[in-house]
Amino acid sequence: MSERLEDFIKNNKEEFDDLEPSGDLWARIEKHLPAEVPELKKREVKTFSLGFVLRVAATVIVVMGIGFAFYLRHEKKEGVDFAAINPVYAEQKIRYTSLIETKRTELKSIAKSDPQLYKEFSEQIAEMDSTYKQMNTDLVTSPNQERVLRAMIHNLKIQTDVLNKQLGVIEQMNKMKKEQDNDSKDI
Amino acid sequence: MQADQNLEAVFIDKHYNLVVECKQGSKKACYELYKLYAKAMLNVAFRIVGNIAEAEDVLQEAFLDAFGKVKDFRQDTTFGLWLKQIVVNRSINLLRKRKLELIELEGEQLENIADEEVADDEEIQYKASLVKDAIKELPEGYRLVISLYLLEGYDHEEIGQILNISENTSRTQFLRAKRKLIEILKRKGISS
Repeated sequence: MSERLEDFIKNNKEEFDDLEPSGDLWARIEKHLPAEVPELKKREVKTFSLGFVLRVAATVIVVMGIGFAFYLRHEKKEGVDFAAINPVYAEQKIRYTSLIETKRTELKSIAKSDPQLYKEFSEQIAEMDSTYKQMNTDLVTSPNQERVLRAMIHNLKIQTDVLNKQLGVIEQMNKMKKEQDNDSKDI
Repeated sequence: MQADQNLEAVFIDKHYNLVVECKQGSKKACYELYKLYAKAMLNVAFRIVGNIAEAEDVLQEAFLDAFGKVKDFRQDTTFGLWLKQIVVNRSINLLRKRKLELIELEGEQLENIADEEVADDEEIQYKASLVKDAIKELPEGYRLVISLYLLEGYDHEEIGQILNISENTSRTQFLRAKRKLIEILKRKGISS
């Protein structure tokens, strides 16, 4: 099959574009275009938006700076080095805290099935926790930090015990419920 | 299409910003785009619709269409290729309105055009202007396929989609068109 004609046309495409649009075609198109916002106004909007962006950026930086400063101060205030007071206590504190964390989430899972009970239980814990928090603040200024820390750990221990008991109660109740269900099924 | 893309890739940044400005409503930017593409697009339209008045109408509508929709144009492709798609679609719609019998192409006995029928054009010295005139003499369907394939750079699959015919029909139609074109050129006594 002849490729010469094909090649010729493909290679000379530009020469096939010989028509020129008539001069008034743009005018006809322009007539239908939506009216333009005046150039001046547009530029104004543009610079404003740039200024706006800069202002926002500046605000963000300032807010971040303040936040960081607060964070640093806060850090200092709270920054009691437990390990320096007593490394064994510090370790215990971490262990209990994480233990309590897990148990609390466990307890939370019953919140849906028995909201009344959950409310009671979590109130007990919350009371102890507020005492703990109070001690935590006292710790900073306390002349005998070791004693306060010991008391804090004691508090955590009790919290853990209470949580364990609460979870035990829930388990017991669930078991009873199941048995009841089974019994009623058997009958 | 390859050549088009290469050509446009060179200017892609400049055009990109123009399109952005046009999106923002700058008439000047739109006019720049018009100046860049009007001529090529007019020729595309003309080759499909076959007369200058209608080609200009298509061009006008296509530009208005493009400027109207430019805010939604995601610029994944170049403005030129996007605009060309609009021009081609509008041109073909116009042909359809004129009841170009594209179906008739389908119905022709396509088997007749076998590959062994070698059109001999060895002795022909082609000239763009003469080839162009010869293309104008082709029946509308032939002109369409030849233009889309050789000048607009669509492949047969694309032509099939555009004209709503099968890829094979496009291929066969193209071979017939080419043979006819050589015939016309010979009749015109191209040798100079």
